[in-house]
Amino acid sequence: MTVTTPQTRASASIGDGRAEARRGQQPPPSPHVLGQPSAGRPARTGTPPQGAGPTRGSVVLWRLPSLYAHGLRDALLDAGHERVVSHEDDRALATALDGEPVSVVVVPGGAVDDADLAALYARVAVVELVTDDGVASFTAAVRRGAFGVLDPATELDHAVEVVAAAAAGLVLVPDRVDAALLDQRGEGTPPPVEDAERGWLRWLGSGGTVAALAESSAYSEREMYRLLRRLYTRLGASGRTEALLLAERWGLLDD
Amino acid sequence: MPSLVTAGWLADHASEVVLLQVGDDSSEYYAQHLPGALPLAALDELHEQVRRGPVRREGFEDLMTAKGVRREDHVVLYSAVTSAPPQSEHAVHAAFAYWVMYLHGHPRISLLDGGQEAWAAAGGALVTDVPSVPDVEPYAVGDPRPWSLLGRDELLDRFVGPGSDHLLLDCRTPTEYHGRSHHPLDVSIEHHRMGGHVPGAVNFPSGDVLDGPLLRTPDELRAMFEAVTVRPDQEVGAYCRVADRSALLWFALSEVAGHPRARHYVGGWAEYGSLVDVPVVRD
Repeated sequence: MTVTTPQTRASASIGDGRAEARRGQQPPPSPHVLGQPSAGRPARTGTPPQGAGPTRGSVVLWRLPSLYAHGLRDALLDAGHERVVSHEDDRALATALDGEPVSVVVVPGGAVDDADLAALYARVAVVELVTDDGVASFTAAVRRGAFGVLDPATELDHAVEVVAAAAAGLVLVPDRVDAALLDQRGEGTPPPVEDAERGWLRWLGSGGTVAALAESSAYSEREMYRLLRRLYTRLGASGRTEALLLAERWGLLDD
Repeated sequence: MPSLVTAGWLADHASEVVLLQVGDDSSEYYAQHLPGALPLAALDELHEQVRRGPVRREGFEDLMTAKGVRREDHVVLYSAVTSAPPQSEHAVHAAFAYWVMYLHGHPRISLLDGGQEAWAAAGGALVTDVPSVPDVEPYAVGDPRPWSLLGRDELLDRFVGPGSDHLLLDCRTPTEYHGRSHHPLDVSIEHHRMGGHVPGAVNFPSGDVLDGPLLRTPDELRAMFEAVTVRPDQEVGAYCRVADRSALLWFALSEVAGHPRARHYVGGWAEYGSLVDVPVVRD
């Protein structure tokens, strides 16, 4: 059985489900993650390098929900991929890997837990279909070695882009993930907050009004808002709700 | 009486209206606001402070009196919309204020299309001085519109379950709608609020009613609503998580597209998702 990797064109034999790299051949490098937020579109910097786009090797869809697999298969074929096959069991996958070169395998998230399949991640670009579009699921898949991450709500044209990018050794990072990864707020040491300001945040966090806070603090409502706005800005928040969420993450609302 | 006014219209009629800048609180107002505007803090002033819900009649009357609003006044509401997405996060406060005033039957209300951003883009000045509040007679609610508020029990009775001819529009994000995300304040392991949507509800993210900071045209909105099977002869309830985004969708549906039977489920998913033993759909 042979597997062709996207970048190196190296091949490795997989015997009895266990990868045995041939001497001198390199596994695919770690996924190269691109990410520049752009409103409403998957993050990507510039044009994918030559070699991205419809793959010459097969795309294998393994144990995906049948309806999803049908839709993805049709979309990939329409996009120009030469061969897209679906398989359900281990033997069929092994046979596929033993045949024509495979460039990408799309698997359900967590399939790497199967020891027999762990070898895939070292030999072929794997795209995971995870169950939700949360940041944690995305990053966990990439940490496992996935070159692409899909979720059931991913539009098919974007799924085609993810597969093509994976074949080129690139990981498309969605805006929301990129933004979350860059968002350091609420982590580490909070910005300096005076005791009185913590008291304000606790008051507001418990549902108190600014008017009552101003009165108890002997400020005019205008001055109270001015002070609060300054505090929100220092916390990196654009308003009260965001400020309270950040304060909660930093433990500033705790007694 | 136009429910939606432009910056140009406001410039011509500024002296004829009561102008209120609505935010989650008033910190943005005190930074800058339209000339003559007074602040209205949605979180503190448009909600009951002890029991959950929009401000009730007595509180609303006190609020209007405190803002110097008379029942015959034409009130124009706006938010300090920024150019940063999602604009809908800012426009929702003014829309919620509009709905509360509508609920309590204030006769003449308008929303400034595009809010502060549109005003500034049209060359309007922004100021920091706070006008004095005129002394007015105590406000008295006249002809309230309680039907616009869709409560939990009626929703369960008439909108949920097979055979209901009414429609719910879930205006949260698709991720929330499909039950694949949770608010940072929700602790999933406690199962105190489930993810998903009300059976039969159609997902219509509230931001879709906007084109940049401005609302889409009535024809565009009608076509969009028709595309999700909204019919003029059925009751349509809008909900989101906590009744802010849904206010914007309700406004677009009722006041711009002119749907005659639009209602607002203010409990939102924060309520429905916490109810014990109610049907939930999670994809």
